[in-house]
Amino acid sequence: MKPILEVRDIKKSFQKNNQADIVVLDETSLALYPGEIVALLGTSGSGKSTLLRIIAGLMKPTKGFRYYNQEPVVGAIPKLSMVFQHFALLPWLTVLENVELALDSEDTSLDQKRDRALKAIDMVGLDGFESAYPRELSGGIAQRVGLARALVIDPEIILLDEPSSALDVLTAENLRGDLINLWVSKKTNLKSMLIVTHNIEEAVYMADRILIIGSDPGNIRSELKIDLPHPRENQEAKLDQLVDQVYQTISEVNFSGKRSGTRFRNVRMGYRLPAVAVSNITGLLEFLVSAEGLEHPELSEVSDEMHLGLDEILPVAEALEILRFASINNGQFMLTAVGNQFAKASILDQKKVFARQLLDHIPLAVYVRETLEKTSDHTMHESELLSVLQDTLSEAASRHVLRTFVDWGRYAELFSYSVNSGVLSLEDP
Amino acid sequence: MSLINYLGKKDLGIARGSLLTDVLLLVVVLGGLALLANAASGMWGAYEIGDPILIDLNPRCLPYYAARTVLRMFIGLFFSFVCAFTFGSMAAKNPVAEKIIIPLIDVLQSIPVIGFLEVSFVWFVYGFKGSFLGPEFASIFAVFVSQVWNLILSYYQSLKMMPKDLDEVAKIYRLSSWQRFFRLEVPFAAPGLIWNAMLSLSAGWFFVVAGEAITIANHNVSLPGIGSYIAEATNQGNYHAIYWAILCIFIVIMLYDQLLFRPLSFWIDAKNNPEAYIKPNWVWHVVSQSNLVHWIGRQLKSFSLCFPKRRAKKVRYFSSPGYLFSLLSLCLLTGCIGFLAYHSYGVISMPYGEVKVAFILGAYTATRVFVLVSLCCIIWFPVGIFLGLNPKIADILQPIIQFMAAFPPNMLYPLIGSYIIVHGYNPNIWLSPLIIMGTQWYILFNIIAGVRSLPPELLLMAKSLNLSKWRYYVKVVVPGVYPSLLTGVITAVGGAWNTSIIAEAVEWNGQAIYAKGLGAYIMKASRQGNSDQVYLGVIVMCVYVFVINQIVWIPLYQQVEKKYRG
Repeated sequence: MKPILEVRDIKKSFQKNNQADIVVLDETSLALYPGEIVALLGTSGSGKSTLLRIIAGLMKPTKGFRYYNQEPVVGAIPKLSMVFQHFALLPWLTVLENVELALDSEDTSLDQKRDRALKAIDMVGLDGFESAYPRELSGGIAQRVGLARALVIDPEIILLDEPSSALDVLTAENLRGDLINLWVSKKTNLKSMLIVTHNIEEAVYMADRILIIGSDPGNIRSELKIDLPHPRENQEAKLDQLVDQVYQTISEVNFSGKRSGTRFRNVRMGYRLPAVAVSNITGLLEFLVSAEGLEHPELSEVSDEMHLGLDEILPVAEALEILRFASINNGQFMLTAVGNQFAKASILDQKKVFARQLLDHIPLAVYVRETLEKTSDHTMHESELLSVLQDTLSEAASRHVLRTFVDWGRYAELFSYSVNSGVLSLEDP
Repeated sequence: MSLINYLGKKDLGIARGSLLTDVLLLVVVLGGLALLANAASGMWGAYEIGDPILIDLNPRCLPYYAARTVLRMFIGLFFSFVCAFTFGSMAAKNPVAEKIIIPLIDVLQSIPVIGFLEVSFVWFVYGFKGSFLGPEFASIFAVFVSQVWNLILSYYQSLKMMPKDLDEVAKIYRLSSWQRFFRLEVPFAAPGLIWNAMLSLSAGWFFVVAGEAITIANHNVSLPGIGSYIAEATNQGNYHAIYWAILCIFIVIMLYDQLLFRPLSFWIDAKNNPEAYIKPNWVWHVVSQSNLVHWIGRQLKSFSLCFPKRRAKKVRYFSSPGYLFSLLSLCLLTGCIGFLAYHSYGVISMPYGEVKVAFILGAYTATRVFVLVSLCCIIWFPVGIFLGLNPKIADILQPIIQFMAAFPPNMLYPLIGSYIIVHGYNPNIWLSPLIIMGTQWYILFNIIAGVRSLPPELLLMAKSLNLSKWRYYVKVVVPGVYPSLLTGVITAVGGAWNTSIIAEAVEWNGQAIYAKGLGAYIMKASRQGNSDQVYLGVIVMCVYVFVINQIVWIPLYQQVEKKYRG
């Protein structure tokens, strides 16, 4: 079978002020075949959103090709529509007008457009909401309007950009079920759907194929076929098993940066520190210590127990690992002696342990501490730090890293920082 | 005023679809249009500099003059909007244009509007030689300049703030650039644009009044309008006519306030806070209940939809309107630079002594502005904080203050001038308060708004800590108000420089008194037809405003914003 839409050898990089390119995607290919739902799974910052926008024709890749029915294309495609994370409804238009908006570019009469829009609204079960304004709608209803707008153009392909991540759990489940019903009912000419998500359950429930995308540089690391017929409500056991399998793959993808044979990954100077608050690190560690009976708690169990999404738990896990509080292997946490000590220590001792780990394992901390001790007035300006980071990171990413680093450093009492002047200084020189 | 307020509270009981409403509305609209059309027909006609224009001081002519003045306002506003849409979207969409337009506006904003008027007047009169349109356009140009920078910036900022996903919706569903403009960009930017237009219209009364009666090269050019009426009354020393004119502008501003400002600000309020109940505005109520208006709305919508559909995919670096506009603006820019270069020749060849004099006079005006703005702050700061903390009293006073802000203070200058002349006071001191009369309200407004935007938890916290009154104000309220106070001060200072050209030179009954300052220098030169001195004065004023902005206000604002706005 031939793919409907395909991108091949995509590279996307951003260049800033003649510095080194920041590569977001590299050598990425993806094909959508008729009759399948594909899920693109990855953590935030892995480039999955960028890939979706390149597939949609909203963004030009730096390198690579895009084919629609084997023909190269650029820009938007008439038979392709998109559902957005935050619904993207125009607040000054009613539900009906919002749906009609998608037909603006077509050459049909106003009456015909109205009929088609009403039919689409009907299809998602929103009769009676036609004259409501988006501000009157709950998230679930608003996302259905987004769906109706996507359906009204009679699409072959729908791209869904984290469609349920702005919804509460129950509403999200409801939306998922309805999407699948729509897919199974074959009432539309829909041929394929691509859903971007960081919710593993969602991916497993909906997709025929799951693609796992890793970061630095982003590309597709792993593919998993799911041969279960839709709807999958009655196959809990199999789904659970699949969820565990995906968790394991993801943790391998995300924690495979370390060289084989070593337990921890080594951190370079310009390492993109995960944007994690200290309280999250202590929280997770304390949870791991208290999770008795489990020698090596699994990532999936922990995220389940703590009600954390993949996007939330992976950065914390990464922070644990680079600080050597725990390691993650085969989707399992393994606490280190230091991690154990930290979790059980008093507040003041925790700070000391944290400071030691920072100085031992984060080169940035060593660099800052040494600079501060060397200079006569024991201060340095943040711009110096930013310029070091920008050798390998984009400007925005450098600022994020700086913020995280300042947060950690202040907690560890390595230095103090004034946001007004942007100066780091030794607290007690 | 009280009658209209009463009407506002009373439910008119007009049901939707009432024929009466439609007929009433039609009569009002058509009547207004007829008046304006009649006024517009006077805009054409032969005119040479030096032709006497008769201004009739009979109060019965005032409605016609008022219509002419209003017409100028709205023509100016229309052109401002056109410019805002073109240049604002160019700056927002094209990074190269952004790097040119935004700094350029920064510079142009510091040119005093009245200075623009003095300079551009000659230009327009010679451009439309032999026609009445010349002075007419010069006067409209003054209104235009007083509004356009604000509107361009507002539209530009709105476009920049447009959520990315809305932009993506437009791309995915392949809207053409016109559809995008009508369906996405204008509605999104509307609240900001309307709010800015309302504010600049209020300030615009000042410039339209100033722009109607100008003495250039010893010739009086006075366009039929309220401004000229006042000027003529001033020349003749006719107190009665001045009182009539003040009454007339009072009524005009009240109508404008009730028919335009309030319905629109109600609409914006209702749009911004969908949850809160806001007392419906009576004009809005009547208009939105009318079948006629709904019919017009539908026609407009289908009209906007038939705008060019997106053509087949083609790689274009400029969308066609964008390309056209870039070309147009390039021409405009070259024209402006050429014009300035041509005239600056005269300025460069001026003796050094003259330049020195202008700079020294500028220092006088700068001192005057500084002292008076500080005085205003001292007076209005406690009042503003009191009103901000007592919203009930503020709500009662707000319409009055709003009205005062819109009332052009230059209508009162002749009266005050006559008082000073008759009593022989020192103009250097007693003319000074005039420059702050109009703009002081911005300080008050901003302080009130600043107090109101303080987080309620902060005030509760202060109460719960049982802070003494003194510490409550000094530690909690006052620091929270700094950023808005500064915004008000910056606006007021800009306005004061503008006003100084008129306020430092006041006439009454053929006598003129001047305060020592750059404004009076420009005015004197302009009355004597000494254009080089006018250019020199305006340029020196620009330098003062621009330099003070760059080294004082902008850094200060950034500092305060960072520290106190968290």
